[in-house]
Amino acid sequence: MSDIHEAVHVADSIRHARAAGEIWRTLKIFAGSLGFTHLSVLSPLDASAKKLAPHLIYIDAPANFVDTFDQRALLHHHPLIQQALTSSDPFTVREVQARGLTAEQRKVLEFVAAELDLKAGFVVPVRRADEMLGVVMFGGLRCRLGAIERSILHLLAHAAVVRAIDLKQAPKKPAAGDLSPRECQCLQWASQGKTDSEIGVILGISARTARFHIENAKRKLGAATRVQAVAEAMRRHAIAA
Amino acid sequence: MTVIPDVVEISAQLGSAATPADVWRAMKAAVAPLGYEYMCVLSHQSDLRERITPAVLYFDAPQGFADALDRAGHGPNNPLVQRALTRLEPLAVNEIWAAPLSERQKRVLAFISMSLNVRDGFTIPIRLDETLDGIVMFGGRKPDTSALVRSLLHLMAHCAFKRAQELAQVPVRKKKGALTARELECLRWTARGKTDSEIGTILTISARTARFHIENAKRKFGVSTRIQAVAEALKQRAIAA
Repeated sequence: MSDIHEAVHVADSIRHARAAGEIWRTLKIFAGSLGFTHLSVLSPLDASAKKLAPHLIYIDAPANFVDTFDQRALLHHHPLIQQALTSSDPFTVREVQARGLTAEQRKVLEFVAAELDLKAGFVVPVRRADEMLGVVMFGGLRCRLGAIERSILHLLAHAAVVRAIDLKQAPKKPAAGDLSPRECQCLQWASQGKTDSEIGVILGISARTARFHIENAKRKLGAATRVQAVAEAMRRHAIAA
Repeated sequence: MTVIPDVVEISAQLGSAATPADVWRAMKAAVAPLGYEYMCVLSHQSDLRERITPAVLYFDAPQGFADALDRAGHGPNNPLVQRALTRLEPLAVNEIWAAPLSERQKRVLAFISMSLNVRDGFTIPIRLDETLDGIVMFGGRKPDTSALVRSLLHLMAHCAFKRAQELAQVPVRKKKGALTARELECLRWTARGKTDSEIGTILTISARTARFHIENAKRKFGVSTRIQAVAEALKQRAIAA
């Protein structure tokens, strides 16, 4: 049950992630706690897609895995990806196997399982209305996937893909409002009740410099007072809440 | 297309609920935009095989409806409840209709659907550990029953149930050191960069009184600066981020 609270935190981190890499890392750590050591994320694709490589957004695989996969033209017979093209429900590898596979499909699954050392898997097709946004695949050897874990991974995978698309569509300008590490440190200490001179002692700078950093942070955050600067920095997750 | 409510926000609302009734109200408000007009929460502390009335924790059906179901002896033939007793996963009302049903079961479903004007929804078994703790049912005339909403309701119903259980165990009393509405109001404005005299103007109190409220909030939090007080209030979600 602690998974549920953990999941809400992970959803919050994903929502505030500033880079795609951060999103996948966060998702992977949570999935890892359920035994899913492998993550791959695909961009939208349809039945006409021939190669996996152009659609890969993230994958945990040895460098030559994708090359071999595409050289052997396995995408068309990959039962998980093909299923994800038409399904809007998440599904497990076992469920796909139970539906009956062709000999070629079985071979593809065996190849992937052997290359990536996987025994179980869970696939989340991510859709908004009918539009495909991507596919998230979790894999591992011994995984815990009860009813509630299934819903959690579904929601998190969805949130992750949506956030990644948002980040891509609105490229972050590095300057405006981005605090320097020093400014964050000063605000963090200010939020713990330290004065300028105390912050100076802690960080080994002068009180004036501490004040200077906080004034800059106020300017960047558009805050009238340092209280507002701290509140705003917490809101933006620039300092720990 | 409906906008999927945010997991993080719903969970924060559930977290700030002070009574079980507040929890259910917050849950209802969160799912209403998805087209769910009805919610029913049953506890498994009483035997659900025959009657539901003693188990009802929340039900927004007309007065006496649950009692009418029980008096008519519908309990054992109500698939919304009986199926959830043995299931691990949420079950859509549509899936129940699609499965083979006895004549009596069909009559009970039709009776509920007609009386409440509910066409679809989910019945969700709540399992905080291995055993069944209760059942949460959502219904509406034309609710969003997509795979993603199903996962969202599944997760949120567990969050709500757990929160309500925690609140029911702890006797409700005003926490020592809880902030007054006025103190919170002053902290909120402080977090937005207002000075004492500006807050005074906004709240039509004197600057001294505003200061007095903030000083009291600081004392209650046991902190030495107002920045710390605002940071603490944000952390505890006493004021909105």
